[in-house]
Amino acid sequence: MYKRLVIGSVLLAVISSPFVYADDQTTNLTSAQIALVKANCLGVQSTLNRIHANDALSRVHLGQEYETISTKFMAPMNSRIALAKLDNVELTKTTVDFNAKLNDFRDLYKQYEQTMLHAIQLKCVDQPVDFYSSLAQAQTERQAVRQSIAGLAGLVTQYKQQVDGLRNKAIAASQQGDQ
Amino acid sequence: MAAVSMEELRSDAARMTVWQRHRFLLLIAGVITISFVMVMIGMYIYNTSGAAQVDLSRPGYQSVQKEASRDTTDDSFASTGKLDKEAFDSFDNMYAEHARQVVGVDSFDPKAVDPDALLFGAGTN
Repeated sequence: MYKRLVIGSVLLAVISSPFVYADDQTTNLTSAQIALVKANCLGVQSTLNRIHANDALSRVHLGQEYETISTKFMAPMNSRIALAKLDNVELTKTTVDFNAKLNDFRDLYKQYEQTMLHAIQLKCVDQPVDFYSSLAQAQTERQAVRQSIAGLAGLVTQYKQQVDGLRNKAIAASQQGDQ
Repeated sequence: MAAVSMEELRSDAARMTVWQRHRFLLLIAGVITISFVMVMIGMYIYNTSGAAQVDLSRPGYQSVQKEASRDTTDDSFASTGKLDKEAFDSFDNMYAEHARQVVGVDSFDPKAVDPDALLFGAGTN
């Protein structure tokens, strides 16, 4: 019975542990480059550790700001525009796009973070090619995170412009309501 | 209440199955197994939900923990009320402050993890 328990526990641990895959891309490194990777990789891993920590901080700051913009500004403004019986289709569309992009950002960052973690934890002296591949994959995923941030920034600006476009109409409607 | 003799107790024990005799041990093993499974499920959710990525209390993040600020600003635009000039001015001010934090930020430069630059000092030969 104990044997079954132990086997069951080990199986559970294996199933539930997070998986990180390195891209199965073929990396062509010369033997001289492999030697360089082996010689430099421990120092690079220490640099990656610092980058990883700073990235986490950026992720937290950006995430907080995105959440605030979406829930404390976009949603209430859409609600007020709707209550004022003005056309808020474009604003709502931008908000929906923003929330979808925010989810993409979370997913892309998660993917990137796991690849970075894999590269940091890898025994790079024993697996130099795998280390190089992981780093190359992290670079690609980091680029995707950057693009996602740029996309979100674009939507933040677009939303402001759309609000500005409605401003005069909304103020006029409000003044008419007062009279 | 009738007293139970030692002889009766011994014969009762002899009639017990292996499972009944080791009930306490099984209880402990069961509790440990259930706890283990619950912890595994919790860790799985923690890792897959994205909570791990924003948890700066993890080991390895001590250097940046102090720099992380809690979002204590109570800036928010009311979802009801008149949409007059004051309302728009108030919205513009608060929105601009938060937009400034996310528009034009130069984060996640892919060059920072360029394998060729990091490992070979420059482009590959």
